[in-house]
Amino acid sequence: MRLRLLYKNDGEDEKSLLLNFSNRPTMNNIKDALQTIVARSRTVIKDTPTPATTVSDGNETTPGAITPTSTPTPSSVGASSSASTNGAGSLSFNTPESLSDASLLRNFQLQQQYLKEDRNLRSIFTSSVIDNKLTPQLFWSTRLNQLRTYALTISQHRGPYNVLSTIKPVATSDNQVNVNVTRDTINEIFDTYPIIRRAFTELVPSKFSEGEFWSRFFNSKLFRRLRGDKINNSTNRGDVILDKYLYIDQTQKANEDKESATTSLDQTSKEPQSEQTSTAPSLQNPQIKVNKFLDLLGNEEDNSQKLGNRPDLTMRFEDDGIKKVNLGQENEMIVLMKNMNKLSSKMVEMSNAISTTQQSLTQPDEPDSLSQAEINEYQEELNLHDLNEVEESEFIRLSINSNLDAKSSLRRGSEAQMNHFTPDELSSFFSSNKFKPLVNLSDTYDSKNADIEKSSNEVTSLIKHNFRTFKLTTKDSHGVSYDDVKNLVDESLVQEIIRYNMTVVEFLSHFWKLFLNGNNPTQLKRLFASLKNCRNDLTALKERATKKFDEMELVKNNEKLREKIIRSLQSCLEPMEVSLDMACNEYVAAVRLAQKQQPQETESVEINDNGKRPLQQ
Amino acid sequence: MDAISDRVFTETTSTETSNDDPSLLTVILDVSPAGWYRIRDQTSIDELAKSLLVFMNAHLSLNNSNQVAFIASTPQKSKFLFPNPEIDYDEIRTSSSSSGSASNQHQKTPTLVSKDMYRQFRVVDEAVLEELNVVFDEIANGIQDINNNSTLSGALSMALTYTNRMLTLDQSISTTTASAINSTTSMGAGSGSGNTATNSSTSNPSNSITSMKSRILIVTANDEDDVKYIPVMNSIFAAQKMRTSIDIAKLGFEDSSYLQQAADATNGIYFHVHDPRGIVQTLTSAFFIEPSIRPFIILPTNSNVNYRASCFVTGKSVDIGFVCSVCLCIMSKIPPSGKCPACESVFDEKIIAQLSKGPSVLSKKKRKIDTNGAAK
Repeated sequence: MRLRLLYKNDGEDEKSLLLNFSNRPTMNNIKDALQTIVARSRTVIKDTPTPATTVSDGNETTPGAITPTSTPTPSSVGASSSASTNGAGSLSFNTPESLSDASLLRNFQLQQQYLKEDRNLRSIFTSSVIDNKLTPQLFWSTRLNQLRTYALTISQHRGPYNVLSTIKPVATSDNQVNVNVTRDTINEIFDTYPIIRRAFTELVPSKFSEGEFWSRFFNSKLFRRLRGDKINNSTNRGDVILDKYLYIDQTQKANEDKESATTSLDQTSKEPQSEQTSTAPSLQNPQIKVNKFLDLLGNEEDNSQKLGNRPDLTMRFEDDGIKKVNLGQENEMIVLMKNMNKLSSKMVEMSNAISTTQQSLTQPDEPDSLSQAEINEYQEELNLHDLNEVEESEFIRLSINSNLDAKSSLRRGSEAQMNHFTPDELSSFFSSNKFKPLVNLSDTYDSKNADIEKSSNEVTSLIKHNFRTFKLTTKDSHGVSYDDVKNLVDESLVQEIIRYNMTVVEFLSHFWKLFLNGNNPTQLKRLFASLKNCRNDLTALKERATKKFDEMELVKNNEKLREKIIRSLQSCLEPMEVSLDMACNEYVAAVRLAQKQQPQETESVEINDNGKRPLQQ
Repeated sequence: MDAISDRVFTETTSTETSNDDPSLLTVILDVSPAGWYRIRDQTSIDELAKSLLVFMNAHLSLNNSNQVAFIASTPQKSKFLFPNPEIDYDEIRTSSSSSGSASNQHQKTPTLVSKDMYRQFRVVDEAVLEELNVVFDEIANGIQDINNNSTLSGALSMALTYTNRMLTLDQSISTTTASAINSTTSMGAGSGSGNTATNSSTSNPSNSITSMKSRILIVTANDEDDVKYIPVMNSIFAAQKMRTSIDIAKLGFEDSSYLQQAADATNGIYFHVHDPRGIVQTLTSAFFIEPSIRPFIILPTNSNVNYRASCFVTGKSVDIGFVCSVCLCIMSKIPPSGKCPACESVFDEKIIAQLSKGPSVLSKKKRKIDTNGAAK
């Protein structure tokens, strides 16, 4: 029986080694060991440096939580969780007051950051606020919702999760296995799996280097177990040293639970390891108060085993003594479920810890009694909802007045329409339209060639027009450049028009908002001035563009083209002009009206009511 | 082996038939007197009706099982001219086929269309022309009490209900010539012979819904924007659900924004016919596009749609207005009663006060000085 090894040092040729064995088990053992070593050496741990805490993670900026050069020592664990609670300042929104309209308007840091992120908004902001002196207050006042959403977005952070399950070893082309881990992830791993932390502290300085520890870890059964994978004892290779912790983990499950609970809440109450292992199961430990509602020990009294039927494997109660004997031979599924349960409760605990510490900042909480919310929650859980009667949905009867149209048409009956022609005229008109026998349908086209041609042209020109717009829109989306005629127009001019449009829309929206239901005449006046400015700028822009076109050789010589270009320019600017003029006129009219009423101050309110802006144009 | 080849064969046939689906064309002619009178220099309504007949005949000739319907919307009412449940089309047919002798000939005025015409065309054309004459008479006689109501919304609803019925009707319509004629007659015979329809519809109800394509063409010269907004809108949504296109041929001088919306929402064609003299060309080109191929070709439709809504109180279109938060009733002004005119919900007085408060344009400074002055 032979085993052949091929190996290669850097820059040297491949060498081979032949080992002879006299019995198969030995050879298999050696082979397994060698394979493990090879696999381990192929696992590359990439320590991607911790991304420099970005500005967007507003809460995470507390220094000291993360040590970027080495794996953080266990003692620093928990710092990151507390960091999130410490993160006060203008970018944290823990209190409802910080999300109020006023405070959002005052929060310049938030606004700045939002502008930094949203390019569209930034360009509107620059053109309207910076270039055209719209007050930022006004600008944000219409965007409070956006601002609030943004504030909530950035104030959220990730809760605890099954870190290991997100780590996926990647096989590369040169047969290596790459594992990407950041310092953050390692921190999180330590947080969620205290057993790894323990293994790390016990092993790293003395037995392994840090890198070796991790490469061993990712090949170990421990890793797979903690991830939630099923371990198949026969096929999978493990790691002799680290896999020990599998069983340590089981024996000390309860203790670990307790330890982690204490560490996450209070580091000082940590007890020595040895003492913990010797003490009775921590569920009986008076230090931990288990609410009666959640106390699983209650199941002992309710042991269904005593009643005859063998319960489901997940529900079997085992005495600790029996369990210790069976160590390692426990049903794989149960181990897995227990692991997952442990992990889940851990996560719940961690997020609870964060929220309670946050609460305790504001109010001292009573540790023993249940809060009203908790009581409610438990009661809600007990409630069997599907057994309750379904509540009848209540409808409000909406009586729609369908006579509305008839009424309104009566109102309009008096209008001018019918006055143009007498009923007699109409009557004779319709009588004259009656069909005489033998209608000849060929009348419709006989000797009507000219008309038909005209109609045909009408249709085709419309189709052509539609085709052109269709082509333009589809081209636009594909990023292909415009055809020759389009090239005449300067790209900068196009951009300018677009920018103008944005600015004008921004101003107009503010203007109408204030004009229609605002109560801030000074602000309104300023807006009016800005609108006037816009209008003037627009005229200037138009003149400039027209002049530019006239100077162009191609346009100068082609009267038809010139007309066309001027017309399209006009149609580009017209909506802005019309809306600006309309706003300005409305304002001027309102001011005149108000000035007229100014002398009779007492009546002014009433008259204002009647003389309000007519909505119909 | 047989099973396999058989299956292939049936599959190909099924796709073929779906390509050859019959199509229903419903024409709505808006006979609003004022509108037609105003364009009397350009065209007359009878000219236009003749063009429409050519259009319908063309539609019928495309496919043996194609269907048409014709609805007139007059100021008094909307009414089916074809098919008409009160007329037995068999009678027309026999009377005209046995041309020389029949006794019907005496009672009736001489037929309006030539007897040599293809029978299917003649049935439709004759019925429409005769009925139109009746409609004109009614209008001419009743012109005194005509208020300017538009019944277009009613006509549209009728068209949609008819379309719905044809879509869910049995497949026998869509197969052969004979059955196509039969179905028209059974339609004509109305409720009495309704059992034929139900019989066959129970036989094969599943395929029937998709087997027919449909569209509606509205021809109107009404320049007033005074259509009943809510019913028209509801019809539009119904048409959208039924995948029925609404085409609009607008004569006269102004665009109708609601009809524009109707065409726009249902993938229909809106075409403003500026010169109706050559309208037969427009009808047979622009409006002749089957709904099924519309997504793939460039339509001769006017895409500048005015999406305005209409005020429920005054019936005029609104630029800026108020909306009831309960029933979405649109108002151009706040009703003095402080209640929603449609659902009678009482509006909040504070909000009314805030809304009806005029713009405060004069700077407060002035007022402050005034009040200060008064205080001093």
